[in-house]
Amino acid sequence: MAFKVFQNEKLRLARLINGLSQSELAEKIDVSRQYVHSLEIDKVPSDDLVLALASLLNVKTDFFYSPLSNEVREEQCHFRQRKTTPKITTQQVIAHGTIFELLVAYLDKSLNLPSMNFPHVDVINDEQIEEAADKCRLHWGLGFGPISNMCRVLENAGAVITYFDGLSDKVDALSISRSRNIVIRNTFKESIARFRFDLAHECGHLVLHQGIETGDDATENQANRFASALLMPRKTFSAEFPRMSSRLDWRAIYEMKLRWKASAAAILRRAKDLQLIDEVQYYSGYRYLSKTGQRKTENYDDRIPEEHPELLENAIKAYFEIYAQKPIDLANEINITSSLLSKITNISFDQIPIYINELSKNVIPFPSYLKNS
Amino acid sequence: MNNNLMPWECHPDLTKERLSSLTLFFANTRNELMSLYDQKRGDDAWSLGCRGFSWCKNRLMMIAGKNEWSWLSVLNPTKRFIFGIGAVPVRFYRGRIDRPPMGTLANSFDELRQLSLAFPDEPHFRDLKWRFAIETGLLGEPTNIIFAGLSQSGEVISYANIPFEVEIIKLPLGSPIVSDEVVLPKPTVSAPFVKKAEIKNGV
Repeated sequence: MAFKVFQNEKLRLARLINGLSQSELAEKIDVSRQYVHSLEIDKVPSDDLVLALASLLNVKTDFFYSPLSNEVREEQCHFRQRKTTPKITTQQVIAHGTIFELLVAYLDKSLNLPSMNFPHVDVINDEQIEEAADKCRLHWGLGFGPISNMCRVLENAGAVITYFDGLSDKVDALSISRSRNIVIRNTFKESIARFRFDLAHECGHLVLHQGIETGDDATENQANRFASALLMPRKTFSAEFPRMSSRLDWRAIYEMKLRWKASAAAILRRAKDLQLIDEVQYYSGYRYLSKTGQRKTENYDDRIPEEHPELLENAIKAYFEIYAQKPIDLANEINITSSLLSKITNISFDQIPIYINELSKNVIPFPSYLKNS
Repeated sequence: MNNNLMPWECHPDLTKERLSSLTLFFANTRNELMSLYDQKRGDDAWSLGCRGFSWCKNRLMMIAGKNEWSWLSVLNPTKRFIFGIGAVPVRFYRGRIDRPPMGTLANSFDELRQLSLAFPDEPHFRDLKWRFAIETGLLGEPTNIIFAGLSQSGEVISYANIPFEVEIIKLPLGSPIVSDEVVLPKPTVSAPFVKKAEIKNGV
């Protein structure tokens, strides 16, 4: 008979993914904060307490007994956070990434997902970053015009994109460079243009910073420059940007925004980086956007087409279809409840039809997969 | 400008509400003007300045004509434009309050006559010129709208700097060119080889 060992760090993970502090959890199970702390370090809880913890934290009891083989550590994440981000928020986002990776690893094992296809480029200066972005465009067959759908660029290159919900706007996005890259983005932000830039920024980390610890100004600036260059390639953007002698031509800037599906702030920054406008014009333009309430959302954001991640939802649908499974079955595979599965995927399973693999019951031929096989 | 007298302390017609309405009017008009600046069609600083003056002047005349603000009147509709807030004659200019252009302080018969009517018993206020100074940033955007009473030498005797938030201007933009966009397919997900074989064999 296999001997089960309580994995203390899994309790910490489950607590964090549920957004609880040690004190809050202690209050719920009527123990001291110190006791919860000891449970997360080395103390072994009674079987009854394990049941209570599992029920409270939306996991199966087996969750606490399976070793944490994939723990994501802060230094392994490309983590766009603010200097003011509370530690607890950072820990919660990383816990989210860790459990999400368990799901992705399981889906990856069960299905054929797009192959990982991110070029790795070492860069030192801006010129090399521009070249790296051009190289990626060529590698992914994007040409040198606007990118119609940034989610699809990452997903066709094998990355899985998801959202984290209900935290705060203190974290922008996070990418985890693993056997399958994961990008997690805050749902808090409303602007689609900024969503695309965030994805391009994370793409920059995955291309430029493989195995490099990020989060400092230098690597964040490199990822920003890469994002600008990927979304607005130098050659085409420079040729299109109208000459502006002193005042900014806002109509032209907003038209560029709609064409390149980037924020007006990103257009201004790109124009400054490429020396198409000077520092004074850039500063004044940025100040104007700020003063007119366009820091978080801008004019004409509503005219940029929405885009949403597709890979995760398609993979889960395919899993249900191929294996004749339900959300609860998938959740069981990683020892969590279906409500926690819904939380970490940000998918409402009420809206996903559950398929039954009729072919496996020899009733009706299974349509889509046989056509391709 | 210490011990500043607020304009509404100088004359009851210069109420804070009226000055706020005019501040917002000048800010929004200036903001709209700047947003529509179109170098491709031949705009420059000169055209911006001319339009800035005309838009403010003509729109104030329209507001007064429709009696939208009952307290607003036009005293001189020419290029030496003077309007009235109640009984008090007022002019406007683009520039800093501490550096009024010479022309704005020049005496005019219409203004002097109206001032004597507005301040019959306060000769110290009768000599003040009431001005809106529309201060702008490097791009021409409104940064401060200041209402002040200036002495003949340009010294600020009374002033109010009323904060404002401009309206968002929606420009008539065309549809973007998308002919050079590459549309990628949806990311594909399929059954692994072994599972496909099982399905095929009805396992």
